Amino acid sequence: MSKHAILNSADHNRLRVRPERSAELGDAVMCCVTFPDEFRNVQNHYPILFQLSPDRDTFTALALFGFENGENLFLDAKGWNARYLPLAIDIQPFLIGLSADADGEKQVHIDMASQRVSHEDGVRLFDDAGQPSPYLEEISAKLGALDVGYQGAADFLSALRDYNLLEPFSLDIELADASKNRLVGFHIINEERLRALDASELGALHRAGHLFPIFMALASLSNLGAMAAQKNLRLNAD
Amino acid sequence: MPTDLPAPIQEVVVADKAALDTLLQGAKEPFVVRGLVADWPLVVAGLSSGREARDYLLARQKDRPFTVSIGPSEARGRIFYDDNMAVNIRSGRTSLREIFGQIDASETHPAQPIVYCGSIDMHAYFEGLHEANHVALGDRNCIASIWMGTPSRIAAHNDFPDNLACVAVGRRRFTLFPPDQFRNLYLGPVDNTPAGRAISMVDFHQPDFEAYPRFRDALAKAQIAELAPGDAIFIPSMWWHHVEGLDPFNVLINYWWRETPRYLGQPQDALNHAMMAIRDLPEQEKHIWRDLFDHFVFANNADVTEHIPEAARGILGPMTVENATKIRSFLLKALNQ
Repeated sequence: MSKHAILNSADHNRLRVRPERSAELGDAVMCCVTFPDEFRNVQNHYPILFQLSPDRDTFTALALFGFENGENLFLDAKGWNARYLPLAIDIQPFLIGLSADADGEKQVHIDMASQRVSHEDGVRLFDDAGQPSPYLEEISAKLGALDVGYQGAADFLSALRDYNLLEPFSLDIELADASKNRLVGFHIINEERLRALDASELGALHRAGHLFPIFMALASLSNLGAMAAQKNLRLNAD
Repeated sequence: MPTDLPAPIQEVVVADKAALDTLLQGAKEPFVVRGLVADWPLVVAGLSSGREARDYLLARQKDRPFTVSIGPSEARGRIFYDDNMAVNIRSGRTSLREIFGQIDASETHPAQPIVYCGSIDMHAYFEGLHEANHVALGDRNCIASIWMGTPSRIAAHNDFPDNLACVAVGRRRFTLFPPDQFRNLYLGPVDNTPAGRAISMVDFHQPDFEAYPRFRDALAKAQIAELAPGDAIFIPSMWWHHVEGLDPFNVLINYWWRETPRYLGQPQDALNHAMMAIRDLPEQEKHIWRDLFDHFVFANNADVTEHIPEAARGILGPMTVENATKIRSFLLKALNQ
């Protein structure tokens, strides 16, 4: 269970957070939410897929780490093997909190139930004078970027819908041990429909800033091959 | 000619938004509301002329190609099959200005070719059109679409969602039949259709009662209404509707929604799958499956689950989002085998 608290130097002065990456600290996850602003960085390592909400109403963009629940092919005993961590992972155990009045400034919340929260190990959030540590300053900046990114994502995702650019996707992965794995329930950008857009449509997508992330998402799919290879490597190692 | 004219569709007066909302809740019968959207700017423009309505729409279009259906003037607006059972319209993509230019040119001719933009998403193709011309439908999650074109005759078909259709420009005639009349409407193919739904093969302007004798029974159950600009009609889920755009330029705006949760599957998908999986089985096996469908789906009485602990009922339990997601994923995998 999570237990959210508003972060402040009075209550949390001695608090530390363990920033390293491991399964024990909750990093063995199959995917996380991502957004167009970070697609360029994400596509360098991870496939970007889209998923329809269970009520079939809205799409979410996801960075994929594994082919089944609890599998993260980027994570091993030494940590997370990629130069870029998607922000939604990077900011844990912190969250963006809305202040009581809707227009007020957003706050940094922390999930006190997270395994990362500690009093002995890890990085301090405040110095003895109660000033935010460089680590916390960095986290605050990332939370800000995440917040802006999420807000921009809604427009992007509805444009993908308006232009009918998403198609259901399923992937069969045959592994070295001849077992078959199937990934279903995700969508990807339909290349044929993208190619069929005319100059006016491309112009409109470009002006709205959507064209660039569309191509980034397409390019990201080549990472699926590398992930399958990684899964095979792990299979052989077992 | 049939001797009895179809009954008129019930007309209701709604005092305000709340009254419409109440009427729509659980409505099982069609009804017409005269003048529901008479104050829409698009309706007002159209009352001046078709061209004014088109100018109003052009001023609010997004700059992107529209899908348009073009058909021969000999069809006299009837979107149907040709002698070889090929659909008699072809689709293209071009600018709305180009499409409306064709209508400008042919509007005064007695034999207009069919130029028809059907089921265009109001939000994806226009800016501010919906905002200035819409019916408030509460928290219903609607698909809002616009239908624009020359005189047209859309053969009787039905749709799964509930439908509130508002006539914005031109007069439109609706002929409706209750859902159970499908046997008497002589439905055409399911997978070769003008717009995705099976249509009645009967030509309502010249019914061939020798070829389609049961169509008389359908007519006995028919309800009809002619709508003027500003009028609206509620077509309940699965009611058959034959729709005629009667003027040289016609515009309809409609709202589709389902009263049941959106995470449920599409019943038509289940029927299509059953055609593939069950229809061609030996009679005896089909009988077994009919029995199972009755038990698990249609009757779905307490005896399906009462002997299983509640926590262990899985997809036999209430169809929650989680259960629907589970079945969807299972079916996706199974169908791909």
